[in-house]
Amino acid sequence: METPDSLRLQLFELIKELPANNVDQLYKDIPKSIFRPDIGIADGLTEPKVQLEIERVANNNTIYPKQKSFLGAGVYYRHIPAIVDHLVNRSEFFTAYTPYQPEISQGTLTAIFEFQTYMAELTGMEISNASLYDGATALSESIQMVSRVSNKKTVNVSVIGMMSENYRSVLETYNKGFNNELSYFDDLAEFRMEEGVDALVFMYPNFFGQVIDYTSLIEEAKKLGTAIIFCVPNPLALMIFKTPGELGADIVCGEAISLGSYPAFGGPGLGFLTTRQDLVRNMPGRIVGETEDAKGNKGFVLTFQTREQHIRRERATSNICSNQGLLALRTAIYFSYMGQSGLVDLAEDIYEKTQYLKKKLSDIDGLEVDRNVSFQDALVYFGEISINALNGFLKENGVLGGFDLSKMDEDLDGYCLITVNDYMEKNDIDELVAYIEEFICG
Amino acid sequence: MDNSPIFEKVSISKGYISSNIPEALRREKPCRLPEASEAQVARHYTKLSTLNFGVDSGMYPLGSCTMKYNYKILERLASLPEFLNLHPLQDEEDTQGILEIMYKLDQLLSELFGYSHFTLQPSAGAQGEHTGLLIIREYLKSIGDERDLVLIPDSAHGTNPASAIMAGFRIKKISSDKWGNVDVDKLKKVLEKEKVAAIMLTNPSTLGLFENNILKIAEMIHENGGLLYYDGANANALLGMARPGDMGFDVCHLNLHKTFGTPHGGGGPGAGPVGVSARLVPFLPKPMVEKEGDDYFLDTSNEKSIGMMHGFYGNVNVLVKAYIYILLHGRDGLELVCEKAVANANYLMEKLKDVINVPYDRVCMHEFVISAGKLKKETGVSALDIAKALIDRGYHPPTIYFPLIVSECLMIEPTETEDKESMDKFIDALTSIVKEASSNSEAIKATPVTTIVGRLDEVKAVKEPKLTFFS
Repeated sequence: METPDSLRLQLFELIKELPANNVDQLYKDIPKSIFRPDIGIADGLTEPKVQLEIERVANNNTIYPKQKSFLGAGVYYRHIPAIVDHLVNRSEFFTAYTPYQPEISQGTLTAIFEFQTYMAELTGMEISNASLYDGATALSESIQMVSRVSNKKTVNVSVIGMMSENYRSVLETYNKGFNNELSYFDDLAEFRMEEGVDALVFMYPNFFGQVIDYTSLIEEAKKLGTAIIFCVPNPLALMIFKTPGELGADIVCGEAISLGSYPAFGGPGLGFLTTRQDLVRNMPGRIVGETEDAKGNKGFVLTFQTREQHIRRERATSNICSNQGLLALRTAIYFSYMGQSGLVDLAEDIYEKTQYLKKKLSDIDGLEVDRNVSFQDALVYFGEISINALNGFLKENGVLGGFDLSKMDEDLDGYCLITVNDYMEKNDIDELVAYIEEFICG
Repeated sequence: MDNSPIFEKVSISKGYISSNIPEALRREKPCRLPEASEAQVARHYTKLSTLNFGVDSGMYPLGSCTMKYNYKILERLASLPEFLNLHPLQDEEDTQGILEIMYKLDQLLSELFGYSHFTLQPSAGAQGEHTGLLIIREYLKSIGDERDLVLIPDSAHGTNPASAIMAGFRIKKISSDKWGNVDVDKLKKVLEKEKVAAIMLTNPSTLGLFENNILKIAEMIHENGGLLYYDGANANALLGMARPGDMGFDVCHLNLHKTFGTPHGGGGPGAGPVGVSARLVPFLPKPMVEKEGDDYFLDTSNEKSIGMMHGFYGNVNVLVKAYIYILLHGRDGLELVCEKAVANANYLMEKLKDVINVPYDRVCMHEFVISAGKLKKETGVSALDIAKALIDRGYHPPTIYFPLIVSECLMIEPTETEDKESMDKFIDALTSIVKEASSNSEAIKATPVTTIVGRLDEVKAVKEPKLTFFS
C-alpha cells in the first residue's frame, strides 16, 4: 500500500496542475463551520500491524471441528470444494461492478445465467432472478410480488409451517411499509382454508427441518385462486424431495448460503427467487437473459430492466440494486462441480444421517424426537433437562451442540434443534449421543 | 464460443431419483445438471473470468460507483477460518471477536460521519435507504405525527423513490436549479403547503457538486417538522472533511463497497450501514452490539426497534473488510483518500475541458459530468458510442445517461487509487475518440470490436426471452 508520504507527494504534483493553490480550495463549497471537523480516530496502521490486530480479534472467535458441530437451523456446515474458492477469487470476477456493460461482463453474465438455470431446475420452476439479499428478505419480496400480480394494494397472506423468529421479524419490519395482513400457522392442523386469502406461504423444509406433505391444502387453495409461495431455507433438500414446482408453486424463494458459501456469522447470505415465465415482469431483482449481437454471436445481458428502480423509479418492482452476485457465482460453480449425482448423493447422505441421529436419540430415555420426516435438522424435546447446561457440557468436550430454541422463542423451552452436516460420520453422531447420555445419567 | 454456458461444454446428466425417502414426498423429475470433471470446471470459469473486466483489469471511472482498488489484505484477513466458519447462532462467548469488530465499526463510522449509532444490518445501499426511511416512519408515528411525504430531487438515484414507496411514503419530485442544487425557492413553496416527513439528498449531488445551501435547507426542513436523509453513495468526497451529521442530516446510509474499498463482487455483496442522530437511536433495527465490562453482546431488548432487516446480522464478512480498511487508513489516511479522490477528479475535469463539453465549469468534488450533446449533433457520436469506444481502448466506461438532467451525459469518477499516468492515458484515449468522431464516426459507432461480443440486442432479449438454458 502507498504510504501517506507518497500520497502527499502525488497530491502536491496534481495540485500544481489545477487552478487552486492548495487542496482546501477544492472544498470551497463546504461551509467553513463544518469543514475539517475534529475526528477522534487513530491514524492508520501498517499492513503487518493490521494483520496482527485482526488475528488477535479472530482468535476471540471459537470454532469447533466441523464433524463435531451440531448447530444448523438455517445455516449449515457444508463442505465447500477448494475449486469454488479458487475460481471465485479471480479478481476479474471479484472486483467487477454490476454487469451494465455486457461486452466486458460476459464472465459474470454467463455465470449468473447458469445460476438462474440451476435454481430453476432445483426448485422445479421456469425462471429465476439473479439473487436477492437473503432468504428472509426474498420472502418479503415474494409477498409484494403477489400484491402486484393480483393488482391489490395490500394482500392477505397466511404462513404455514414453523418459521424462524428472525424471518418473522424481517417480514414484520418490511410489512410496516406494505400493510399486508399476515397470519402465521406453525402447525398445518391449525389452519382452515377460506376465501379471501391471497397467498399461502409454505415453509419447506420448515425451520424444524420437517418435510410435510401439503398436497391436499394446495389443491384446495388453487381452486380458490390463492397464490402459492414456497420458502426454502435449506434448498439441498429439493434434490430428493418433491419440488415446489411439482407441488404447484407460483413463486419459490429461500436462502442458498449453504450451496457453496460459508456460514460467516450469517452473512453474506444468498436470497433467491424463482417463478413462472408469465410472471417475469412482476419479479424483483436483476435478471440475465440470452440474446445476440449484430453478427449473430450469442451473448448475455441484464434484461427486463424496465421493472427496475434505475428506470421505473417509484413504480419499480423493488428498490434492490446491488444484490449478492458473488455468492450467486459461488453457487453456480458449486453446482457445476457437484453435478447431479454429487448433489443427490450428498442430499441422501444428509437425509440418512438425520434419520440415524433421530433413531439414536429416540433410544435415550427422557428425550422425545420429532416423528415427522426430517432433513438435516432434527427437533428434540428435552423436557426438564437443561439444554443450556447440556451444551456447556458438550463444549467442554469439544462438541458444538444443537440450537436451544428457547433462545429465539420462550414458548419453545425444552426444545432443541440438532443438526448433521457433510463432515460427520456415524461415529461422530454416536459420540454426541454418548455425551448426551452421560450428561443425563450423570 | 467461450461465453457459452457450461451446459454446452460438457454432458448433461439424465439423472436418477433417490429411492430412500417416502414416495409421496419424493422428487419426480431429476435435475438436469452438467457432469463435469474438476478440470473442466476450472477451465470453464477461468475462461469466463477472462471475459470480465474488474478494477484489477484497468481504470474503472464509473461515476457514483466509486470503483477504487480493493486492497488484497482485506480479502486475506476477512477469509480467516475464525470469520468464515463462525455460525450466527453460536453463544456470545464464542463470538467475542466478531462482536468486537461490529461494535468498533459502529463507533468508527459514527465518529467519521457525526452520528450516535450505526446499524450494520442493511445488505446494500438501497436496503439502507429502506431501513432509514422505516426508522423515520416509526419515529414520526411515536410522536403522533402522520405525515407521509418524502421529497426527492430530480437528480437522485432511482433507489430513492423506490425505497420511499417500499417504506410506505408518498413522494414528490423537487427540481434542481441550473447548478444541479436543490432549488431553494421552489422548496420553500412546497414547505408552505406540505408537511414533509423527509427529504432525501445525495451530497455531493450526482453532478459531483456540493450542495452549498445545505445548512439553509436543513433549517427549512427541520422547521417544517421533517427530517433529512443522506444518501451516502458519494461519501468518498467528504470522508473526514465534513460530516453529514454536522450538516443537519438526521439519517445517513453508507455504501461500504464504495467508500470503504470492499470489492463489488460483480454486483454484490455490499453493505449499507445506517447512522442516526440521538433521537432516532431507539428505532434502529435489532439486535445492536453492546458492551458490558469487557464483554460484547447482542442486545435485543429494544422495544421501539423497527425489527430486523436481515435474517441474521447483515453482510458481516463485508463489514470485517471495511473495518480492516479503516484500521489501515486511519484518520490521516482517510483524509488523504478524500483529498486525492477530489484532486484526481478535478485534474481529469481540467484536462478534459479542451476535449469535450464540461457543462458545470466549477471546482468539482469526487466526480464530474461531461456532455456529448454537442458532439452528437455535429458527428452523430453519442455518449453510448463513446462508452463502447473506450472499451476497445482498454477502459471500463463511465456511467452514462445519468443524471437524467444532462444531455448525453457521461459521469466520471476516477477515485483516489488512480495515478496521474493512468489518468493521462485515459485523457489521450478520450481525445482520440472525439477526434475520430469527426473523421470516421462510423468506426466509433461500430465499437466495441475487441470483445467476445459486439453490442447486444436488448430488444430481442425481452421479445424472445431466454432466461435459463433449458427454456
